[in-house]
Amino acid sequence: MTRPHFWRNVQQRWPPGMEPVVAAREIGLSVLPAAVTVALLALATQPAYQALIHSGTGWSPYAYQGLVQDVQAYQVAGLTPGLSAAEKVEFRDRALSSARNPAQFTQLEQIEGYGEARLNLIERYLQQDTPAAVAQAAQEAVALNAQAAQYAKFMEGRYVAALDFMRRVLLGTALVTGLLSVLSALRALLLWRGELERRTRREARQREALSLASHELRRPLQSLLLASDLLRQADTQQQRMHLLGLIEDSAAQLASRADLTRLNDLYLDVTLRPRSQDLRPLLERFAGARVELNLPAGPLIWPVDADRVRQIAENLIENALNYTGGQIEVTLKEVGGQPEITVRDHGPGLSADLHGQVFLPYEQGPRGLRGSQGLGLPLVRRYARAHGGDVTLTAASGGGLQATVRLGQPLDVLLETQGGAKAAFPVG
Amino acid sequence: MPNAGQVESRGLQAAVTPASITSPPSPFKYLHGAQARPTARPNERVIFTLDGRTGQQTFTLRQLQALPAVRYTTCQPQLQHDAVYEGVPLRDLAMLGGFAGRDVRVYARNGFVTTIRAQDYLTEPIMLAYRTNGQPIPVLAKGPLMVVLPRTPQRFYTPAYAAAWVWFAVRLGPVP
Repeated sequence: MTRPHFWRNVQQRWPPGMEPVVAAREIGLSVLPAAVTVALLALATQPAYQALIHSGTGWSPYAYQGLVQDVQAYQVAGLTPGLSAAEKVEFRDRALSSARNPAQFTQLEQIEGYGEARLNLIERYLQQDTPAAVAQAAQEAVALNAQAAQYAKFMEGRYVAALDFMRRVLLGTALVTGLLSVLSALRALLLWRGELERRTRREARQREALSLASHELRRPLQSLLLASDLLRQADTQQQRMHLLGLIEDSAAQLASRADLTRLNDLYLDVTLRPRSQDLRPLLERFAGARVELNLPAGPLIWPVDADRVRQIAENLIENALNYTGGQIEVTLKEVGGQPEITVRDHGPGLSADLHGQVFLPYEQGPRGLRGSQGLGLPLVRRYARAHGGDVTLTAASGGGLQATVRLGQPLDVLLETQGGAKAAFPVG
Repeated sequence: MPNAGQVESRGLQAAVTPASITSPPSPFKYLHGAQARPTARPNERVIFTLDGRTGQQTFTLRQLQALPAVRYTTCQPQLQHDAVYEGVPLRDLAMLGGFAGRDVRVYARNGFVTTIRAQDYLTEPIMLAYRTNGQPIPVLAKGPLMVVLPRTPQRFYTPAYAAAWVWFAVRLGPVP
């Protein structure tokens, strides 16, 4: 496999969406416990290593033991019959060869510090060559050897301390490594949980968008079916044209509300397509047997997304029609330079504490005639706020419920997560 | 007359057991090869014994000097000074004794004993020295015979090899 092929293969096998920087970071984090362990151990064993390898093991007690043996051998040789003078001299010279060579006695200074025996004394006694002097040399050598043994004990203590320190460091390092591994695992767990939550949220959003879309499709579908049904029975050309117009309009609304590529912009992070227009025609279609319209005489021009305003009106009016029996009054007027649409019914009304609650998704007021999902009012609020305004419920004077929609400057995007707060970038 | 220079290594390889060494033995730089063994004079003392397969061989100083010899400068770690040493390589002694390729034991006059590994004496000219700076080694300088190691490899100067520099050597034999 040539080099370019190899790297391309690596890139293809890379987890999708993982950038090299992120990958490098993750690899670095996973290597961290091992690296920390190695570093800690290397650092901590360094003093012990130095003590043991470089300084301590140069020392050997043999030279001191050997000297005792050589001096005593000479002492004994002096008492042994049958040894020639030359051989006795050899014994002496062997002992003397060590006694006069401090270089072969390692740590001599320290060891002489443990008592009173001195190497040069041994040498002097041996040079004197009398039995008494030799006996004294032997004693001195034994004493020096005992001092060497004390030094050995001291060194042993040093080694033990070094080993003990190393043991503690090893345990500590193991602890730290274990801790790092646990933290690493916890982090992985948290990341996984975060990913899970993100996915759940994504799915919830998708579900919400689909629920809202299906909720809003109901009405255009119903009028479509109704119109096409009536079309079958239509007698005159005028009736037919009127019904065909209704069918076209319903189809357009279906297309607008069920644009699957824009579900997010339509229902979640509402993105309007506002255009300055007269608001009166948008409400004129709702006139009916039970719906009374009060529109201003002159045009009321305002930048609005016509389809969304229509959905606002549809939802409010449908709620009024479904939950109450009497007449519905729809009013459009200008209040404080801003357009205001009110939908007022003469029904039983709604208790004050429910006025805010009904805007929460899936919260319904007192059970209506039909079990609707409770999505209409939250969507109305979303659209009203996307237009830079809001919708409120109040008790109407003389009984009933009044919904008031105030429109302002449309926002660029109303994010679902903002909970409807006025924010982002007003479209000028 | 003695053949100077390199000693034939073929004979060497025949005598050596390959299993105990990792690298083939290299030829040493000899001062002189084996010479005729002189007979011991009545007043001469035996200073060295070689335990062999066929029994003990004894040597006087002159008889040792007739064996193949090497000469080099090295530093005795306990005496801590450089000197030129001349002596018989342990490898040649082991061959004489018929136990070349085995670990050997060197015994000293004062009772000391140490083991020298075949790996070491087969590949390096570790010698039984009988002359230093042209003179016989006095007892006061750890003589008359001492085991001396060359300056390289460096491991010969580590504590692990401290015991290999034997003083007052008297006997050489194989490890049983």
